[in-house]
Amino acid sequence: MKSDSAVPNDESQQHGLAGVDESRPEAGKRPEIDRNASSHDLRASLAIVNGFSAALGASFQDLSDQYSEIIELESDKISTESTDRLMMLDADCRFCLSRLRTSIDQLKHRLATEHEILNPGQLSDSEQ
Amino acid sequence: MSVDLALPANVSCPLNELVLVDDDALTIEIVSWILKKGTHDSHLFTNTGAALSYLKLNTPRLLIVDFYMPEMTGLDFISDLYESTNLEHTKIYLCSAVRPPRDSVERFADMNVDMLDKQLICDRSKLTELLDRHLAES
Repeated sequence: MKSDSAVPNDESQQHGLAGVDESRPEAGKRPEIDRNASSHDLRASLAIVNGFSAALGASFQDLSDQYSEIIELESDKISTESTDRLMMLDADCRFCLSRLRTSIDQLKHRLATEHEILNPGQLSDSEQ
Repeated sequence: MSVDLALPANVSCPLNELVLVDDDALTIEIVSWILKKGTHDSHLFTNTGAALSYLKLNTPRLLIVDFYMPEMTGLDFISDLYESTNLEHTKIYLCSAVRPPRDSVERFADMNVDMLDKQLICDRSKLTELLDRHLAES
């Protein structure tokens, strides 16, 4: 699997929305598309939050199962493969948790944008 | 947007892979994470220019394009691609979290393009099912 260079790396993701392009075409040029795009962004963020949430749940379950399996073994019977898998699942959980946080930040940002479109000039609840 | 490339696309033997084009880096990341768990080949793009350059040289079996992108809509992207590439053997989906405008729906109804809910590509089991349906095991 390959991704292009525009995909943020782990480092950029540690700084909130770094690497997430929130830009849209100039307002008014394509009003229907712009309005739909805002709604789309909001729902897309929800889908992403759901996706990372489910991924975190599945990864944590796998981690928990693997951990239980290992602690029932005598120490000399624990294989390198088992501990490697445990570390990989731990990394998966950390990755999903990190992206879940970022996607929730993105959702909050997009909610504020949607609020501004629906109520121009009014502060959203999070800004008051 | 125009990308001039001299070589023709490989239309007789589409690559057994998914190409996803979506400006949202987090969408790319979750799809990337899901794909990492499977065996299917893929190329993921957040940049439409880079994606067009790639797709004018390589024809994938499955192409998913986000509808709402800042540089161009997914439909404009596919229209651009249609002008220079044979997509006869490529299954194409436009991905959106909301229903696109009516005139856009009429445009892609004339093409070999189906709609896909954004929720689906963020869901591991549903995306895997879609990939298994369209891509042979690699």
